[in-house]
Amino acid sequence: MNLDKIKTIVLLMFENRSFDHMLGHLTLDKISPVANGLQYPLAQDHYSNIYNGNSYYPFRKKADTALTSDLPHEFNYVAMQVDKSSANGLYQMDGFVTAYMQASSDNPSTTSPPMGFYGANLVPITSFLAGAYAVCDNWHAPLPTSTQPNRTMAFCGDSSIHDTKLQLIPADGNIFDWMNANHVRWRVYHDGLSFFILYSSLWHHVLGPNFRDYENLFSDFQNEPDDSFPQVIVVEPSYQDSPHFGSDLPNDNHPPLAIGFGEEFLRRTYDTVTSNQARWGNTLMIVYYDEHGGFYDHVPPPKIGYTTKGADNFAFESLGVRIPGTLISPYVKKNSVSNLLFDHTSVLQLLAEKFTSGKPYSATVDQRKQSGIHSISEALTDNADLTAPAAPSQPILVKSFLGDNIPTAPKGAMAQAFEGSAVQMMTQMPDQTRAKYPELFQWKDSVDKARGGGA
Amino acid sequence: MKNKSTRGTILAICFALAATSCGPKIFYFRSNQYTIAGGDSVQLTWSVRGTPTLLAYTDTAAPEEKRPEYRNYHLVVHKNGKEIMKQVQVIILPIVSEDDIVFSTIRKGDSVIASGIKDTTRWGTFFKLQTVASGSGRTLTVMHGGKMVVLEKDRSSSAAFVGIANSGFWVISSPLSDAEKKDTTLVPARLKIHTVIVHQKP
Repeated sequence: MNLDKIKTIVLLMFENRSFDHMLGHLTLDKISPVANGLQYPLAQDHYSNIYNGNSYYPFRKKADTALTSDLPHEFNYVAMQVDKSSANGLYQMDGFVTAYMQASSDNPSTTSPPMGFYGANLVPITSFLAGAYAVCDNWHAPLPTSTQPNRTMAFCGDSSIHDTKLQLIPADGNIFDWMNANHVRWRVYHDGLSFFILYSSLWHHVLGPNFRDYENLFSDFQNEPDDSFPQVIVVEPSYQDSPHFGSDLPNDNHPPLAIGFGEEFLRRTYDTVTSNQARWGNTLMIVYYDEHGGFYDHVPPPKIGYTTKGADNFAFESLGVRIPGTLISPYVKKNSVSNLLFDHTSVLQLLAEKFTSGKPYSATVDQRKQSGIHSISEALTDNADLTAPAAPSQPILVKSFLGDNIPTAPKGAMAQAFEGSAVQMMTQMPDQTRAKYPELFQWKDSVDKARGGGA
Repeated sequence: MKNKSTRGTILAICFALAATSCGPKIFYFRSNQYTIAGGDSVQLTWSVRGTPTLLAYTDTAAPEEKRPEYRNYHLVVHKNGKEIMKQVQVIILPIVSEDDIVFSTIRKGDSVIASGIKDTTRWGTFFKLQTVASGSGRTLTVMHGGKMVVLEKDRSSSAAFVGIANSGFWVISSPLSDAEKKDTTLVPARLKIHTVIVHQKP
């Protein structure tokens, strides 16, 4: 399509859910019958996960409650989940229950958490948007591993790490420097602490004027003049693993969170993006997930390999597990399904096509394109349909327990990384941090008191 | 004496602070049986930090899910304004029922072999085999409970394992076809046998 028609690209990345877990119901419930979701009967060999001689099948979740724990999704567990058969060399997608049982102390259950999927009643906004606009049913995480490497691929096009832990993450090739170099107006709207604080080389951006509180998004969409309004907007939810203080609650959909908080955030963002009719007429909003989070999906990942950069030099044989991806714009066919192969670098292909006249974003992104990964632009159309159907207005109720992470230091790698980065940023750049994230200092004070002086 | 008393007081305060600052914890929550048949009972045991509440409810799968009836027990523990939960699921089967046993395969010579332990935690030892049949559409050689039987690919059943518990170690093997020898992507990644089991409790 003619990308000149798109003036603003909005990127909203949630955390840790698979396609079948969130949108497998599109096919079952005939919302998008041609999407590659789940089909009846659910108790079929094709979906069966094997654990200790028993078969486990996908099941429909009956309520939106918090899980008892996060699900395993580090690279070693993902290998177990996709289960490359030693007999035939093909991915079986039958090890999700095995990985979960090995990682947790749960009792055996036919309703094993990785096999649960939501119906439209529990994910009304996600389901509505996927049904109303263009759902992508062949979008995979770029790497069969966890959060940090996949987000780094998404926003840098390369990764020098293969797992998630408390570590320095290089941000070579990041989109912020790339956009600055190519004179692209951009902004990040963060509902909580930005994920990008995990990259110390990006702190000058994180603490700069292009990172704004999410509360400004609606007003900016409504009132900001075109000549300063960003061409690329990254919207960040409030992350489960980041420090929280007071009434601030996570809404990034990272387990064990219930899904309702993220649904509310998605509704609010969609309402904002469609609130200004003139601006909506040339906007593309992309909703996607960093990786599958340990939840079952039935589609094997394509064997497109990648070796992490530098000393890490870790070789992956395939893409990651499928994630839910939805394109929301007047420039997609309503109620359509794109089965083109996408991964997160498909977004970087799109940015390069739009802003650098087709000059590849990077050698790696171009190489992935040659391997069969398409650009998001291929799912767009020149024929604009400016109608923006209203999202369901029903109340989204969540029954959940939400702990705070102040009294005890976090145990998970991502939470440790968030907390460590926050403390470092406050120490090394106190004035800028105080201006951008004043609540962090109150949080730190509470941490010091609760833990007897040491964060 | 005064030092000892002060130290004791400090320790007591520390213990009190530690006790009140801790959240709830479930050290374990388990059942003596996870699969039962009509009329059977289960015994649930737990160890927790906090105030436990046991919730029990029968749940049925949606018709399309074809799962057996089961009962869920949720142990919810509260402490200091926090709440955690752990679940035990008990499956309730008819006295006579059907079940599949399935394991992942490896290639060995001109055969494909699947082996493993049928979950003793989930099944216990009260479900005994009546008949077994090939569930893979191919001839299978099956070893279990010290016996061996060849199952024809036509799903005809055998009573070779009658009276033996369905749980425990199984070995299933099958010769590769000529096509599978030439193209290993055709080799099955799993082998399955179909069983009829009966609940027999002494």
